[in-house]
Amino acid sequence: MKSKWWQLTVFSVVGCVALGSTFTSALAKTQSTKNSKPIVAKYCKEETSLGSLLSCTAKKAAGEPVKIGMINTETAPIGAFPELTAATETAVRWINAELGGVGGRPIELITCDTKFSPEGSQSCSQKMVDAKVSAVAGGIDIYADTGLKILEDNAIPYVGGIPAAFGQVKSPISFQFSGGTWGAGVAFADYAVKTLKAKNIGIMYADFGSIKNAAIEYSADIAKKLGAKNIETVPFAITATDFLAPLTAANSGNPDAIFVFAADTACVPVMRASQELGIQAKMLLVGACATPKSTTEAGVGSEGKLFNIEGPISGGGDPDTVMYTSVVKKYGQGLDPIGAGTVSFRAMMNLWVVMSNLKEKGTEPQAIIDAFRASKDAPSFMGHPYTCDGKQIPEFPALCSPQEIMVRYANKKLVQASKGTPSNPYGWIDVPAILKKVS
Amino acid sequence: MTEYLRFAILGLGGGAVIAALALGVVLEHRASGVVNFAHAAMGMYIAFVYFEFRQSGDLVLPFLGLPARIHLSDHPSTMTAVAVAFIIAVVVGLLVFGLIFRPLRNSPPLARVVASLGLLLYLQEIVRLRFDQGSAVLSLTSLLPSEGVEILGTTIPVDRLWLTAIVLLLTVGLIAIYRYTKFGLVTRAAAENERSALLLGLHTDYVGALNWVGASVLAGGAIILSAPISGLSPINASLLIVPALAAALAGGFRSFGITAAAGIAIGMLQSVTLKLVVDTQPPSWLSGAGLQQAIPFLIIIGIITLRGPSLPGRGLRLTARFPSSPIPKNVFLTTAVGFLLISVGLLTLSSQWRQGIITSTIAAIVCLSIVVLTGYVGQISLAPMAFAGVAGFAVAKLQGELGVPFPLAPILAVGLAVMIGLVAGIPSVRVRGLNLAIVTLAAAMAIQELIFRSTAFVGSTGAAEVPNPEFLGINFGISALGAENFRATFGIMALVTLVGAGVVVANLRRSATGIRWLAVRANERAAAAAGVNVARTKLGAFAFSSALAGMGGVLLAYRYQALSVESFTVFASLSLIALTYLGGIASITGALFAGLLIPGGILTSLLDQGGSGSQYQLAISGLALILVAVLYPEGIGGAIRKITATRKAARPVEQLAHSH
Repeated sequence: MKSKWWQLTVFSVVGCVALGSTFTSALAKTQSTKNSKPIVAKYCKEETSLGSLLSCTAKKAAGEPVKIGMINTETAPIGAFPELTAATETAVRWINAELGGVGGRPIELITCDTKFSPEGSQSCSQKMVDAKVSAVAGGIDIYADTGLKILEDNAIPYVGGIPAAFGQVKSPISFQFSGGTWGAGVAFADYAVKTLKAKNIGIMYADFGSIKNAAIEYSADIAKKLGAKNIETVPFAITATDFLAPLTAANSGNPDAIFVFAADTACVPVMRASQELGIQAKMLLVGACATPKSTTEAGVGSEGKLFNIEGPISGGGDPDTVMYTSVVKKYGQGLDPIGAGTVSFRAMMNLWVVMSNLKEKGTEPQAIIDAFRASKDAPSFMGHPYTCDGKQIPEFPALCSPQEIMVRYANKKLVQASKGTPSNPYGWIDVPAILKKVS
Repeated sequence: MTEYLRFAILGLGGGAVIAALALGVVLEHRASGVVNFAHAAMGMYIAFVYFEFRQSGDLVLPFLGLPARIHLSDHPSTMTAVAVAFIIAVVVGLLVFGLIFRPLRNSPPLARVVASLGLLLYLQEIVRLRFDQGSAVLSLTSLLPSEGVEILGTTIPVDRLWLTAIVLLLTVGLIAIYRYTKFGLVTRAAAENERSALLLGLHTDYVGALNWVGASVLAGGAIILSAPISGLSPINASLLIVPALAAALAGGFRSFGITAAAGIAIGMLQSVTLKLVVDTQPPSWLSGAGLQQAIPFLIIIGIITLRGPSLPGRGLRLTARFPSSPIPKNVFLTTAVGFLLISVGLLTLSSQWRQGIITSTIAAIVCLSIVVLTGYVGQISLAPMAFAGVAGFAVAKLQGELGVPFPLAPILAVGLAVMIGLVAGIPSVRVRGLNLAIVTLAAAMAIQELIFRSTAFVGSTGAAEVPNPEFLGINFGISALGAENFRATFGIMALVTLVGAGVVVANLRRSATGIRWLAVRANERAAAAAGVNVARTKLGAFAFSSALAGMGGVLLAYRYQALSVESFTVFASLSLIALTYLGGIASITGALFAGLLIPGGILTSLLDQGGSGSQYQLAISGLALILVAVLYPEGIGGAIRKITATRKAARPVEQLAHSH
């Protein structure tokens, strides 16, 4: 039955569940591209993740459309995320106008709004089955566990989105290009113990399924295995109205570092409270807190804070990120390039690459599943190369690229905190390798 | 001990916000006898208006059909923003009173509950539609200083102390106004007996409007001042109504002093509980945050239950006003025709239609539980989905983990729901009317936080997997490949359950049990004098109602195949109750109407066919709830009966006219 209002609560948390998965280009600045020249012409010679699929002349798609679904929550008082659908639509417009669609055929995007209910989630999945789509692009769907079962039964791939339900990270037909809360948890543990040399750690987390799981089993436990001595875990209600008590409790053992797993709405209050309480420990917050708005709002409270992100930071000249901002400018129809839309844009582009490479089999759902499953270090649009062998985080086989970058807010801007090397300039933290090492 | 005292102090800010909202709830109840579930949502909208104006100089209007925003200033200042927010709060208070709760002042209490739920939904939707959402889009500048000060060795930002001081001052002011001024005396007189107050020449509408304006300003002020501390989210802000209701209940919806103290105490208690959870590290199956949320409610349930009969009589008096409950007629014929039609639909229509039918069928079963308990016996319980959830999660555990076969697993699961329902029904022996509604709301919160968030009950992922129901090699499950999904077999199983439950309810309504139910609903004292064992009747109804809700919960579990707490929250209960009320809460047809209306049900399937779904659908639903509650306070069923009765009454006159 529908629980229209409360939940969610939980749903605001989705911003958190997204965690670092989101704001890859959130950190990129929009570029001015006021010309009608095709974008491909400008970037075809750059080293983008699209590789040879990006020709220097625009190819307009024509003919019978290829159907791709998009399941997202767009109208619900609990939380609506139309920007995810808008970003996917932007990618599709660009693909159809300049990249030749899939095998020359245009993509027809069939969207479905779950309206934040399990019935809606199931209904949307069934709609995709009835429409015979080749694949479904994921959005935010807290009830995805109920809907994914239908896609699973019918072997339809579910690609991308922001994991808010366990099904999205466990289903064999799901492919996610982020680490979700779990990737963030491991990255925090690794960075705190190895780089910050933290022995005492406080962890405050919203007490909600996936967040609790990540905070305890993928952050506290991993930090302990990596060498942390004392770890204090502090659960707080997802509906908490004041973060003083959990922050004080997390800080009570004079920790060297404090991890914060919370909803995006808690970002500013927590950063402000840490300043007011005079907390000295290094604070590591989820990527959702790294938006310019949050860091600006929190004022001095955001200085020195650390965040996980899942794409190169702006100013690094990452060709994908620069190209993305151009595409949004031209085809976005007002889409804000900063925000969670980057996740669904990335997923759509990765899906397009796989479908294009499959050539005549590119519209077959099973072929797409097999191709993703066989991927190994495949280039990901604005993200870490992905490997969908189901072994990156064995408990969550759908997480194909759970690697993270740590950034610090210093002097009113984000700077890379992860140490880069010539072979790893962005300082990706290899989450799967860490998990393998400590297991 | 000092540590716990320190954490109690840290909870002052959260407690002060709860207290401020609770004071507004008391004001509204004093003015109109209303428990306004939308009170915090009113404050939430006003706060959004304030912060938006402060940032952009735009005034965002809450009316669908009118321009969304008007640009008022290029250089908005804090003072002008406060002035705009104040004016909007006044307007909101006046409109909510004048258009919704004044017309409903003599309506059944449930009509007001439904109207306030409609208002809650509408305001949340308006904020979603008209303000940018997402991660902290609005700039939440604090009106209060926020540097840290040291108290008992702990640092606390001074804005929490300011908030507490403001709430205490307000409380003292309200006490003084209502005790020593003519306005206060008139409010009290109107609350005690509106008709007598009118006869004395007192302007009760004027008094009511002023109280609502005061409540609205309080709500807006509370959320504006707390937003920089807690963030501003439509859902979290609206949900503050739950602890605020608990505080108001502790104050008997009357005492400002006790209400404010209870609100502050809840905040402090939650903070101390957090410290206790961290120190004691309870077993992993017990949700730490769930404990923080549930403990205040458990305490409140205890206090209210023990206080029992000494609670104020306003709600008690109003509970006598329930819609009429007709004796079911032509049960066999109606059932047979309905069963046949729906079965044909299940066997011939597309998967999307079958899904709608299944959704409506299961919802109707849960709504039947509401008809029995609230419609027939007069016990306003706000926890039907909690009982459904107990059975749903239990069947997942029994069949999925423990290997108990179908149909034994669902039978045991329903039995567990009955037991929980009986326990939850115990307060009904001593608590009545709106107070019982709040106690059951608290019980639902406790079940939600302690049971549905327990990993022992729902699994470590918080999403319990439910196996297919299979018996003697026959698969009754919902899943199938392709367009065959949402199998007709499952739909027919749900339909048979609904038919069986409906027939049992109809027969009980026509039996001596039904007469006892209505006797208790009409007048407990008279019923007791006539030899009815009131306590037994109530508890029996709670048990039977829980069984019905449990059946719905089990079917939901098989239908979703993966269950999480989000499917069974308090607000899910509230939405079902609102729909049942609209359908007609005191008749079986009311439950069936409610099933039709449920989002995702048959009506939604119909609308989807016409492609009429829009982003305004939920906002319009909220408005519809308000309108129906105001225009037809006895629900659709009541309205139809009234029209039929009017026609019947007019017929002899018409015949007489024709004969001449």
